[in-house]
Amino acid sequence: MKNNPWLKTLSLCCLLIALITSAVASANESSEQQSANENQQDDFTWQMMIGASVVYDPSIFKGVEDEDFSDYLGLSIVFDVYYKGFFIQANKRRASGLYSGAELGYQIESNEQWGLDILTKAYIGSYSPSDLIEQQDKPIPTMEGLGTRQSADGLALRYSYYGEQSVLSIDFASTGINSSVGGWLIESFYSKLIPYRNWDIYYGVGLTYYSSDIVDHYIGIDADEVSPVRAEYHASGAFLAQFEINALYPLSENWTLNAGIIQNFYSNKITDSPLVAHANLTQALIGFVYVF
Amino acid sequence: MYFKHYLYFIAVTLSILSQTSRANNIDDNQTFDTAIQFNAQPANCVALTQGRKCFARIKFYWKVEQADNICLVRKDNNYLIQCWKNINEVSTSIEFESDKKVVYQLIQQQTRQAIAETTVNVSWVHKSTPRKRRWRLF
Repeated sequence: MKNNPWLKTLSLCCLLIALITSAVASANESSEQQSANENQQDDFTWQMMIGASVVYDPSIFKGVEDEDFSDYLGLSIVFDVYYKGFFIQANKRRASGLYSGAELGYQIESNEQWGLDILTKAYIGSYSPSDLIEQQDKPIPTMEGLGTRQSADGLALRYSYYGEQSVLSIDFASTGINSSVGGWLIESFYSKLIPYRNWDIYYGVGLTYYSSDIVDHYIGIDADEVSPVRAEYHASGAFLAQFEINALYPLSENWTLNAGIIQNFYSNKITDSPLVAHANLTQALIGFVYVF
Repeated sequence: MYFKHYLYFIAVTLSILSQTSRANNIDDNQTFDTAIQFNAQPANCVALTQGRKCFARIKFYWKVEQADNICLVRKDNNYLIQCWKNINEVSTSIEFESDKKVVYQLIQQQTRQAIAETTVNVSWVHKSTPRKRRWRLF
């Protein structure tokens, strides 16, 4: 694991800039705008959802395959809270197993055109090679003897631009502050809502850049991890491109039907790793969500 | 021939609309003959988010004791949906599209009175919130 002190400094600077920006923005607000913001931020809202779905979520790693029925079953509990600018929310896997992806943050600015949040979340979940081997019927030689890869928890600034039924958001995140995975990433995502009768249909396009530290941590092979089936591997930064379509339909005042498909494309720096089997992956789900 | 029908339709429409408009202003809590059956299915349309239009195919059923000339009218805008002549039982359906509840009335053509009404409510799953956010699947 590589912790870069320079990145930590950069991240702290980003955090400082965010707080200063927030303070300056607040000071410059007219009383009218301030009043409007206060009214909005006074709101306390929460929402809880539980969901069950059938999920097709294959692994990127060699030798790791869905085998049991439980591999295709996703259960989730989602709890979103918003109070005076502070929020806890889950943007990912809302309709499937929500094991990670919850975001904890503060809304620095939000108006009709754009928003700025500071938040922390796990950008990449941890994985344990020994657990993966244990769960599979067949051996996975490329995973033998590897240590656990910790999750990349990042501290980020999120800029969002709001269009007509659309959102473009860009996360500038450092994973070196609140996790042992040094590095940084830029995650951009554009989603467009196209309502059709009672359906909400979302089209999404995402592009994420991971720094070399993050890529190395997850799929790199250090000199002391080399084996006959696993050559040393160090990557520079890598990209992940995503295209997704998902749809929601209200079945009753408490139940919705959720379905979607996402196509992931990984850049060469990821697929060249001895651990990785796929250059692209398709994920899909269909399920029901109960909204409290 | 067609012109006569057209004039008849206009006259009936205008008279019903003026009557229902007046009725709306005078008495919103009017009572109706319970012997008349009039219902809409589904009686509730569910949208995903508060404030969004809800869409549904609504089936109306009405039955009166004696055959009569009766019109189906949307109460809030006095829109005449359809009229029937000398009939006592009807089943029909319409495309519903609204972000709030809609009351439908049966109007007797001769007396120009509302003889029954039924409501299609609009509800939602998610409450409207000013907070904007992105939505991702995975």
